[in-house]
Amino acid sequence: MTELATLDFKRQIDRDGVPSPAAGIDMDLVRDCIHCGLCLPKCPTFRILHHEGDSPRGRMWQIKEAALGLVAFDDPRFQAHVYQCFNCRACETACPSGVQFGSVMEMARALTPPQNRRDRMVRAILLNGLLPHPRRLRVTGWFYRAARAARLPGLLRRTGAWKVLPLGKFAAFPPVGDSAPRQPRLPALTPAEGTRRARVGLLTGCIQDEMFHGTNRRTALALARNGCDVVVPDARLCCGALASHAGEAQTAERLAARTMDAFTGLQLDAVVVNAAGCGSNMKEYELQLRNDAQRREAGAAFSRTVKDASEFLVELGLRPPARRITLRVAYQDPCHLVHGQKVHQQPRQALTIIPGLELVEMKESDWCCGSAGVYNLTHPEISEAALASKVGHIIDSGAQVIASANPGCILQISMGLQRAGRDIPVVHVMDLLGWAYGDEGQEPPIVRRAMA
Amino acid sequence: MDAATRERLLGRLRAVVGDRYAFADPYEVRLYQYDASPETALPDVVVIPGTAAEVAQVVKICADAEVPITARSAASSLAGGTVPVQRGVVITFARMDRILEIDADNLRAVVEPGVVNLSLSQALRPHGYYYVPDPSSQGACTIGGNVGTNAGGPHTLLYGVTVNHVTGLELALASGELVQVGGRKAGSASGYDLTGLFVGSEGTMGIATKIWVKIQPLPPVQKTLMAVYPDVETASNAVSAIVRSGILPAAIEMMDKLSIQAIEAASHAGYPLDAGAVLLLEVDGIPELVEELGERMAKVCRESGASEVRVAKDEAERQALWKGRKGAFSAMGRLSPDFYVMDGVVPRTKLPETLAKIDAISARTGYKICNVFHAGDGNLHPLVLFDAFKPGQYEAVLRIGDEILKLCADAGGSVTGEHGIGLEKRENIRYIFSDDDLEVMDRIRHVFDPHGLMNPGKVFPGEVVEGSAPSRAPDHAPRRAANVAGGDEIWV
Amino acid sequence: MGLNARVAALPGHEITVEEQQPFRVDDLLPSRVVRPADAQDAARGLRLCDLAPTAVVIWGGGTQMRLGAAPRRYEVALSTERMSRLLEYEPADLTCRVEAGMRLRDLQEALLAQGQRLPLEPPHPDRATVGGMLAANANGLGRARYGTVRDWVIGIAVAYPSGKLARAGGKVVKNVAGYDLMKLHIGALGTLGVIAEVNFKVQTRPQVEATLIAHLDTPAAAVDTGTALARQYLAPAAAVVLDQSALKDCGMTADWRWTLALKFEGYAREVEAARDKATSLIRAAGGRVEGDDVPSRFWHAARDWSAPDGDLVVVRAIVPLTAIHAIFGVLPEDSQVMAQPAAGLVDVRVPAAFAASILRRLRTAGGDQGQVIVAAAPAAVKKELDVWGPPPPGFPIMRALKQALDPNGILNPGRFVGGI
Ligand SMILES: Cc1cc2nc3c(=O)[nH]c(=O)nc-3n(C[C@H](O)[C@H](O)[C@H](O)COP(=O)(O)OP(=O)(O)OC[C@H]3O[C@@H](n4cnc5c(N)ncnc54)[C@H](O)[C@@H]3O)c2cc1C
Ligand code: SF4
Ligand code: SF4
Repeated sequence: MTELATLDFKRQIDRDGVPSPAAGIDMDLVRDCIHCGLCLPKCPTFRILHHEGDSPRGRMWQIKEAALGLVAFDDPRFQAHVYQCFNCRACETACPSGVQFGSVMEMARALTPPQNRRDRMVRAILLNGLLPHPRRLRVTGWFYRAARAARLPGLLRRTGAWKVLPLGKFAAFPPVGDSAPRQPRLPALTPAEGTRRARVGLLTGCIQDEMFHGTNRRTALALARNGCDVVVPDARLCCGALASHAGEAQTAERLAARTMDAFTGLQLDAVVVNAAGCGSNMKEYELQLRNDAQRREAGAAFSRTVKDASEFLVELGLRPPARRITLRVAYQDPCHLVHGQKVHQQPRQALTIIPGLELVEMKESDWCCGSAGVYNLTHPEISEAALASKVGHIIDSGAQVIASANPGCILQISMGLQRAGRDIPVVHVMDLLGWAYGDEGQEPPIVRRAMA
Repeated sequence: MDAATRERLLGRLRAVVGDRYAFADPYEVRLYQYDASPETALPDVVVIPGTAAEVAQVVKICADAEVPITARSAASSLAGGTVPVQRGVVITFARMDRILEIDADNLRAVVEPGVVNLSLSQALRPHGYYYVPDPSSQGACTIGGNVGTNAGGPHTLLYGVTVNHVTGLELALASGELVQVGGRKAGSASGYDLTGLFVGSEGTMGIATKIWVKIQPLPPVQKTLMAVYPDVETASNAVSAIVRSGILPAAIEMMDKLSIQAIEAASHAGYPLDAGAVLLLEVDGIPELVEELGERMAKVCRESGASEVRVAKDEAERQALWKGRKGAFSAMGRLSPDFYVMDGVVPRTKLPETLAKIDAISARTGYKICNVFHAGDGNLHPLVLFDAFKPGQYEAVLRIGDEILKLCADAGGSVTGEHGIGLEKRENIRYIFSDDDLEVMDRIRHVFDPHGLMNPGKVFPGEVVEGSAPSRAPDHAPRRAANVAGGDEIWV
Repeated sequence: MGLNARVAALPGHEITVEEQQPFRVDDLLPSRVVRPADAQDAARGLRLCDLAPTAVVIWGGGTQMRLGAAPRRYEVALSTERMSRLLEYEPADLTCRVEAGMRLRDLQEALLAQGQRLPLEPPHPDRATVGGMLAANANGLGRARYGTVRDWVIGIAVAYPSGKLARAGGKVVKNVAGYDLMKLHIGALGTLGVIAEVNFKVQTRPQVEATLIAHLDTPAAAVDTGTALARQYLAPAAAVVLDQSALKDCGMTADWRWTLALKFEGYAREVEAARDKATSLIRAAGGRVEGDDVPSRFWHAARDWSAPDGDLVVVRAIVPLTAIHAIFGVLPEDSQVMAQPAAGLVDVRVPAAFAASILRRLRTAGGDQGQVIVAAAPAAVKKELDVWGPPPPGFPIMRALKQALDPNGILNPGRFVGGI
């Protein structure tokens, strides 16, 4: 291939005039990056891969060059670096220039659908084929539970078949979750207990509702115990987070609109979300709907009502639960909560309100575990590297239980710990809170003993 | 470099570091053309070695093939220090980021060059120690890069810059040897102080592959004060007043109105938006003393015209103020799409007049210039705001930069206090050094690097390296200084 | 021009026997003395010497002339005594510029008048010159707290054999333009050029000073207390371990063997706290605080102890802090010792007869992270000793640097490491 000229904006502009950037990329956002490098030490893919192209600064630079036509959007190397990004947005937290990395990345991904086979397959099946379709999801959920009931995971582990089957590792090492047969839907309204303090909507989600039904129930319980009427819309909703983070712009836009509609007109003080990825996505509907002039404004207004469950509860002021849970717990920050929504302290506060619970900090609790939406399926090797260091830090922390706040992270870390032979269950912050408020069922043995 | 030569070179380098860590793919090498300065140039090959021995072999291979070598650590250089103007090989230290030893008994730490400055201090904290030099970029820049530029920071006012905290180096030299100079002990008793000489040589003498640094006990408490002034002149006079008062603050930083606006937009650090200038001051020590010094300093500030003196009431507030200050450059992104940072130094007493002159330049040219800098050292960082997408602006800004540096030199100062000469200021160096001065330095460079292969095109003005190395990219004709001055009067 | 004519063209003049004596280096005497008036003059003089070429030994105050090997050749003594002016001093900037021949005491007095000082105290400041202090890297007792010469020099002008006067650094406290040649010349013993002018940064004088004398049972306990203090906040301005005889040399008699003398400086509160902390550390180490009263000449004598006049042999070990014990471990019983534990430095006065064997033992004990040199010795003893020890790893570069700056080898030939 021919060599590309040195890009030197300043001099090039004097020579050729201002280039017109590619449509679909907001050049102002791209130029916020001053290539200072402050984000590099916080980027998990840079730490694993060591190449500038896999650092936030390198990615911003590539997107800038692509937008200016210096490299092609469909260049396989451009794609490789862009899709090798966890989209964890740790770089956003680190960046003093206020670069909106997540948004820029989504714009770039939207302009270059991935060519790699594995990536395409995951997209076709999971992002477009399954998640947006309630009925298909339900069937899959049924199979999942049936398989667990038939002790399939154990079989997979014993035979080693998990190593070759697609999704094998997740099937073989499932988190403690809903292994029980499907439970009834949450009622349309769970009434507030005690003085009524708010009326909130609860997003039950797609994967969340199938795999972590109990977590939803406990979230509703925690809300109700704290004086909230909890409204659950009739429709089964996928907020479009996975699609949008993966650059599936059209699917994402459609799902966003549907989700908004479902919560509209219910007189809610807030829409509470217990999955960090969904919450962060729903807080950015304005961006998702940027091509839809009519809904854009409404999207922004809707986003302002969205709250993460612990964020909302801490803001409201938690009523102390009665039940003790004597446990050493470490909290793992989901990227989409700590970096995406800048919610860092609240989940910790929600945990420490539980009597008897000791919160310990693990190293790098705000580093991505490698789950990253569908990333662990599309880029298993890099994902594994991130998971390995996460598992190491968890073990070093001496925690008995890990609390997190996103289904993807819980699945991933659970799988990692089990494979490492560690009996350290990974649960949702709302699980612990729910159990502390008196919920029964599905608690891992160590938690059950701690509650005694 | 022709394709065949490049392939041959690449093959040899890959045999040392493995295929993944040496590449010449024209797409990938584009990502090593920049650092935090506005300068860019493409390398031929990029190498990411994993050990000192690999670095030495890489250097040897390049030297044998007479290919220029540019060390690139975090590439946060603001002087274009890592930009490979004469192409060749870029060596980065992304994989050499291990803290090799924390030797608290000897008050030393031993690190690889890619260790991020801040992560060293974080690792030392549980032991009760820290590494003093704290460039504002400390979350990004590395100890290797700090050695390259002899980096300073807000807290180097009282405790000294990088060179005062480095006691030994392992160097990969152009000859392909790996040599240790200095070491764990303090100071050298026999032989020339090659450690001191090397620090700040910006990769032109060789590559540091291992670094022995001093570590220092953490001060029991730190107190940070913010003094609000109506304008920069009053604030800069206050700096001299504080220094004269006999108090030795650990840091004295100044921010002008524009900078405050940018900082507040970026981080809500708590600076007053209506202030003309703000001084950020810090004292450290034992609690009783810090209390007393804080009060004395607040008094001096008030007497020197501060309308308000605020003491950070807790660690969170203190951190917020410092976070704002340290994020200041990057925060400029909020005021303007591009900016150009100068790094001039003037004697403290010349601060007011120099700032006034810079103001006049801004008024005359119409470019906004803000100032956020290490006032205690007289180390100015005027930031000229511009838009690179507007034709002509970049060139105009470069001229303004020249003019400002000339001003600093004329005031008895220097053209760089901590960022280094790099690519950007190599013509400006003539403002402070005569040909004779530069000739002696060049001889020394020659001792380390006889064939001019180590980061060529940096530090020295208008240099052209002979030999097979390709000449400078056409975009990089040397920028002549506006006014070349001869040595003596300027220097003193 | 023939050699004689060139020598005749040298500045200065042939000197008489009496005039020669003060310029004796080991057992060599010069035939000429040159006393340049200023930096330019020094450069011109040096150029003439280089043309000859004539071996030049540079003289400041002569307090460190017993350091280093005997010169291979010696014809011209270049004395900086006329270059003794304070050229610039701006108290508000805390910086000054001086000629290299200025005596340290004179400089300190000028600074003191403004309430400031240079926290460097090499031996014999009444005679030692600024240039000599740089060349010999002569440091006092405050090195652990205030750093060494290299930490206070911000600019330099050096006359080279090429006849050029070249500068480096500048007169501002922070400056990274160009190479840091200050570092190169500090400790180079005048083998690369004649230091002609020096720019310093200075500091405000400390508010108060205090001393503490403690008695400890073993050198190990004294050393450990000294290093422990250095590892904590509030390190003393000086911490010195002296044996009985060294203590006597400093004007104090004691019936115990090992003394730890501490000097504190700074703000009053700080000094008080530091003294309390030191007291408790001393007690914890089983020591006894003997008081805070010392004869007025105590600290001066301690400072000068390592650069004695006369024919004494002083061996100096510079090692990592943790290696000091090993050094003490190989010292003969009743050695005369003064150590600065916080700086990893041990000075020993040794009897000439045992100098070689002690030197050997110390070098083994110091290990490859340490250096042991002869800091002072009479010519006859020096001949028997390897003054600098084995050349350090970077030696080929050092020799190349010498070659680059002094190609004819006229400057202090043979006095430095590895015969440089
Ligand atoms: C926002 C921001 C704030 C800043 N604030 C400060 C500040 O307060 N104080 C300050 O001093 N600087 C500051 N800088 C400048 C920069 O961070 C420093 O120059 C820093 O020392 C560079 O470190 P680096 O690891 O990024 O090195 P690089 O930029 O990669 O390299 C710097 C120079 O050192 C050379 N080099 C790199 N590694 C080695 C090695 N192993 N051996 C030999 N040479 C090597 C390079 O060739 C280059 O010339 C700031 C920069 C930014 C972007
Ligand atoms: S994204 Fe932010 S932190 Fe990273 S290089 Fe760009 S400006 Fe700096
Ligand atoms: S989003 Fe995460 S993985 Fe992607 S560039 Fe930013 S820090 Fe790196």
